[in-house]
Amino acid sequence: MNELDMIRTLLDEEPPSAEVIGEGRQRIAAGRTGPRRRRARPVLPAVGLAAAALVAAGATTLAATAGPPGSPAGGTLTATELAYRAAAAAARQPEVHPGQWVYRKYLTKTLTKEFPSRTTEFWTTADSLKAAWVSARGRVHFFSGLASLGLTAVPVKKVHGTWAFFGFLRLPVKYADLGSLPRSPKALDRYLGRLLPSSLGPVGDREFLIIEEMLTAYEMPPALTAEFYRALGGIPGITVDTHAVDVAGRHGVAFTLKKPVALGVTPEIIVNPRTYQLMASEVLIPRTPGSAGPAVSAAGTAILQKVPVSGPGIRP
Amino acid sequence: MRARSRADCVPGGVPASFTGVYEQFFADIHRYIAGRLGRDVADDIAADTFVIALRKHGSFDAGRGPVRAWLFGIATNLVAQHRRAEQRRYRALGRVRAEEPAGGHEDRVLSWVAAAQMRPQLARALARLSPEERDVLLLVALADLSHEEISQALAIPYGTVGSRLNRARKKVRAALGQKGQIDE
Repeated sequence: MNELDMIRTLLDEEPPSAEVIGEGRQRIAAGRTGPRRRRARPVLPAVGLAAAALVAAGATTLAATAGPPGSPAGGTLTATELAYRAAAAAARQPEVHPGQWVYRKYLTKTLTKEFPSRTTEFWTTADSLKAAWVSARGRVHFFSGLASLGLTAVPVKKVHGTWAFFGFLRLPVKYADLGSLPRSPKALDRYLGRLLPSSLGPVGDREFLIIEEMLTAYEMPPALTAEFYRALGGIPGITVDTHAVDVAGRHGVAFTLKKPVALGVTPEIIVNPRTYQLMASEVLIPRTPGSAGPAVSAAGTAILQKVPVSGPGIRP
Repeated sequence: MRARSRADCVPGGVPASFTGVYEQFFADIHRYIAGRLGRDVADDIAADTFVIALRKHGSFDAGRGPVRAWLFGIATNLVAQHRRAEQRRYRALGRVRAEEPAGGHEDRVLSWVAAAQMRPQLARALARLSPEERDVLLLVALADLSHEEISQALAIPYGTVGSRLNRARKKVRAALGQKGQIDE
């Protein structure tokens, strides 16, 4: 950790809330500087409105309006704005102790016969050092020692009538090393992009895949989770799918890439359109050029429930 | 049909392109100001940055550099009006004992302990930098601006950015008891 990283650690603050962002918009429209006044009457600004200079600067247009109930912010939602909203939502979450047990209920679907659709209950600690599942007879089974291998457990195969863990996903960053990650979104993007081999595709694709893994596998400190979302918004080629549907049939808003990744599929990170919390991940097979219809879901995981609990085997 | 924004409905209101600038950069500006002056003050000053930017946007010259650098220049000028508050913040940060991590891997705890022990020296070092050195250092650390962007934001020569940054980092490293080459 060099002195710049230490400065960031010392001075870094939470991102602005949606309320603060909204108040700022009102103040700009009112042309008002100075301390906030909660019930100030708006003053119409008398400013020249030639916008050519800013348009030439390559500003991104955003219609910052609230959409109808049940839908995300109407109009065009940029990846940057979605990232900020998701970051703000993540930053508001309570801190979770690394050893805190978390109950997870996931619905996983694939197109392959070997891994049919299934709903899985399992427990992990926030840092994924430990994992547990409960057999049909109610007995708690543990996996341990995952952190030493840099692995996190992934439910894959049925054992004793219950989906359990026989697959392990090697995460690119151990939980113990999260504190040493770069704190600015750009630096985090650069760092993450170098962790996977270039054979997987452009650096932006690799960043997206790592962020998806980290958000799903770990319960990271809220501030760091927020930085991951901010980094996600800065990935080249990132865009937003406001009509995303997860494998559980729930509608959400997704971060996605404009072009398919190396395997020819399009990954999505889906957040709740109201709370902007992580809801699901999915991999889509893009439409064949010239064909009608939406992209086909090749595989996906929907987070049905994720709740801190007092211990393994305890259900909320 | 795109829904009309509140700004669209205000006579003489905010142009759509500036709204996009706000949405794109507000959080970055807020984060920079919050790091220097604290979060509560940042809410107001970050908004002020864009109000001033809107007033001045007719004079913005895209040929001189990106709008992002221009915005950080406005923000830095506003921060300069709160020097005493900034100094108080650093002194306060130097006194506050950061919360210890609740358990966890030994390596992570050790690196946290090392950083936490440096906290008072780091805060004092930042407070003792000249305003010019601190501006450059924190535009790198908190805003992730390049040397060229800092040159544009602060309207100083490119070479001056490098020399001020180098001096600032050496002073901070000396305060932390670190020696050796500074890696860019």
